[in-house]
Amino acid sequence: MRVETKRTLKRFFRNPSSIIGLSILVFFTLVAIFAPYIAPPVSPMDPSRKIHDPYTMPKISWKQEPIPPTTRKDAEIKFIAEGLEKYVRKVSEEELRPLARNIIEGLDYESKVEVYVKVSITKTKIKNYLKDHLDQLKEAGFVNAENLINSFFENDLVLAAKKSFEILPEFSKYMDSLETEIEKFRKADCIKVVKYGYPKLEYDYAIKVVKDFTKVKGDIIDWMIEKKLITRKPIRAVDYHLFGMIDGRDIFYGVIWGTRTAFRIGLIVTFFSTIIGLVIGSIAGYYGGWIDEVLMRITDVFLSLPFLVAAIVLTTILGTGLDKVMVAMIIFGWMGTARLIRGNILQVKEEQYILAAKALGVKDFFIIMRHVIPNTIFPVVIQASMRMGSLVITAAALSFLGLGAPIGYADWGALLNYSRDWILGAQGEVFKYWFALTYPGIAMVLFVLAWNLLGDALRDTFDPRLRG
Amino acid sequence: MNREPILQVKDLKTYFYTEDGIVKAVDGVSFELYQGETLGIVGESGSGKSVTSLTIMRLLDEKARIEGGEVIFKGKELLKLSEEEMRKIRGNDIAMIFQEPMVALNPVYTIGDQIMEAIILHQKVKESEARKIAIDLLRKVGIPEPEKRVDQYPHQLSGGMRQRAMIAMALSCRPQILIADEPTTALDVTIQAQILELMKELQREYGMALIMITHDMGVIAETADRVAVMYAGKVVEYGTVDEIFKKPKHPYTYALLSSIPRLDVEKQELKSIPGTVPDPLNFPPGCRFHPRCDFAKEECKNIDPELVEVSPGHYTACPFYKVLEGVEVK
Repeated sequence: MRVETKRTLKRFFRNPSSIIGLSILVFFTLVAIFAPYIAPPVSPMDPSRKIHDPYTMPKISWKQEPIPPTTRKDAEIKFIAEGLEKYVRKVSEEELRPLARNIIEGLDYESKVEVYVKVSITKTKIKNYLKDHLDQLKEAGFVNAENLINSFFENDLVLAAKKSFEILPEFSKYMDSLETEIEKFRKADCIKVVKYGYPKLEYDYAIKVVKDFTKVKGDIIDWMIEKKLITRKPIRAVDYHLFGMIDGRDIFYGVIWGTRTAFRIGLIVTFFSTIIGLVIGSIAGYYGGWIDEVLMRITDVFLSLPFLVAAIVLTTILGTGLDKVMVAMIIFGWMGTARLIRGNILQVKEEQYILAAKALGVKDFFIIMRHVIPNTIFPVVIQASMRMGSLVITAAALSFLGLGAPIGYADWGALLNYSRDWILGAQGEVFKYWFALTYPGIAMVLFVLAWNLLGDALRDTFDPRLRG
Repeated sequence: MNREPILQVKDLKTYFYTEDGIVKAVDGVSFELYQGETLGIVGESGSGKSVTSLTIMRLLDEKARIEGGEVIFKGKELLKLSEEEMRKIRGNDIAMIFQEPMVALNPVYTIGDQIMEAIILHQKVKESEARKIAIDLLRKVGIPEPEKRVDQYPHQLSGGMRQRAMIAMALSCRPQILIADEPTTALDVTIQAQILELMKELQREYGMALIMITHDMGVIAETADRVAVMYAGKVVEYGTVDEIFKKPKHPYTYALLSSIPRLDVEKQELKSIPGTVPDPLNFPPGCRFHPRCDFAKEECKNIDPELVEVSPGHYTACPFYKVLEGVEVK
């Protein structure tokens, strides 16, 4: 390594702002890389991963929290298995369908709800039927009928039923009608009828939500913060929800995966807008004349549009979504770079070392590559690194306005959007929901700060014009 | 001087087309340059000295247009060559050094990189070889510890060192002509003398012709064999350095020489040429120097003086040069 390179690196790593900025960025990068381990995705993208059976899953009680309100006041809903990809709830018979529909609508991805109907309903019905016809059975000499029907054991009931077939001619008809009733559930797309075999199913009906991983609303499932509770209220940290919940979603998961979103927005938008700016600015700078005039007037037109308004208009054309927002940010984000590079090129073009290189017979291409670009690129690199941070704020602002990330997407801005209504806290308790704003807010501030510090440090160390 | 000139400039005209009008920066300049000889081009700021040199190298920007004339280098008409042919001549046959050593080196590359760039380009040698040549050159131009300096950046060198490095760069391909555009203006006096001495030495060693552009009559006296005095885009006097200094035949040359402070005369008021260089957009009619000329006559407003030979090899653009006879340079 050359002495000068060594010296520059040393200078860079001695700069306190670069150390702070870099450490924060390294931290964020690690978080982004190890997000699947820090906050495991709720939905298994990997098909080899074992899908948990709802009935063997550990029961996590939500009793310490108020049961969230649902569409039906009298619905007896209770989580018996929480987390991962399934819900099982106890509901009454008539509620099955509307609830299934509600769940599907409330979810962020296209999913199927399977309703399990335990055959014990049929059992109860058989019991009731036989009880109604107890006198008839006794008259026919089935003395033990009462005991058998009330018996706790299934075998006894089967025995009773068998005998009943002999005694009651219409009993088989009744059984058939029960079957057709079950068939009705079967026919409904989302409902699965389960006969025996689930000894642990404690309820007559169970709803199982099966996510369809191939059809996700919006984006890859990992980026979605799962909605675990049908409530919009912030819920303070419980169990492994370290940062609490907002909109029924885990804030910790959102912050961790939001790091990836932040990097993605920052890198992609900065890269493309810088490239566009570089191309337009360099062409304008090199060729000058009417090309310069036309390109710079176009730049002025773009600059004259207020960014947020332009982004809103563009998203109405393109539709909402994070990728659309990124497109909008690229389209309206290249002007600064273009102006900067043009100004620098105009300045460098007049430098004597360019003339000196020409006087030595150096080719135009090498003059541009070796003499013009290295002397103009640094301010652009520095500006780009500064912009990385601010872009995340812009994206957050757009998400806050509801233009950005789809509902449930792990994005710091979206998390802030959820907590919008609770910024003022509860009555008499201003700081009741502090966590809803603080965690994503801190993440965002640190991210922007880190890029700015890094940009400053880069300028201090690498800009050749500040050297010496 | 019966030798064939290595470079011949004939009636060169370079005009700048600006929004305000046409600037006739170089308006009919002719001179010859012989092998191993130094030609001094002297004149006030804005007299067209630098534009003349840039025209020879064809390094003018888009606003400038070469309106006429010929530049003949070893039988080749430079103004008619293609850009690619011209690029091969630059650096290889004709090299140039500039006024400001502080800004004529690219701050992002080491001295070695910049010297090697031209060597690799024109001599097609390997990088390690080019590096050796670069170190030799640096030693030759008098830079101490060239092995160390070759890896240093321009900002780590003093002004004199940078000018030496510039000279090394210009000489890297052993050019036949070196154009030095005010090479010592930005340096302090002791360094100036060293650089001039170095250039003379290298000129002898390489046998190259030198065009020394300056506004400093002292530099001319020290280095030049022949002198072209320029005023407002025209050569007003042209001759050997002895003739010009001892017997100036143009009032402008006379005024220039008079305005040099003298060490041997005590308490003398420093003479200056009255007025300023005329606005290039709007030259006065007739002889362009007449508004500032001590010897101007009525006719000077109407005649456009041509160069006339007053003695072999000594030309002047003043038809009334005889008024200067017997007038001593003060």
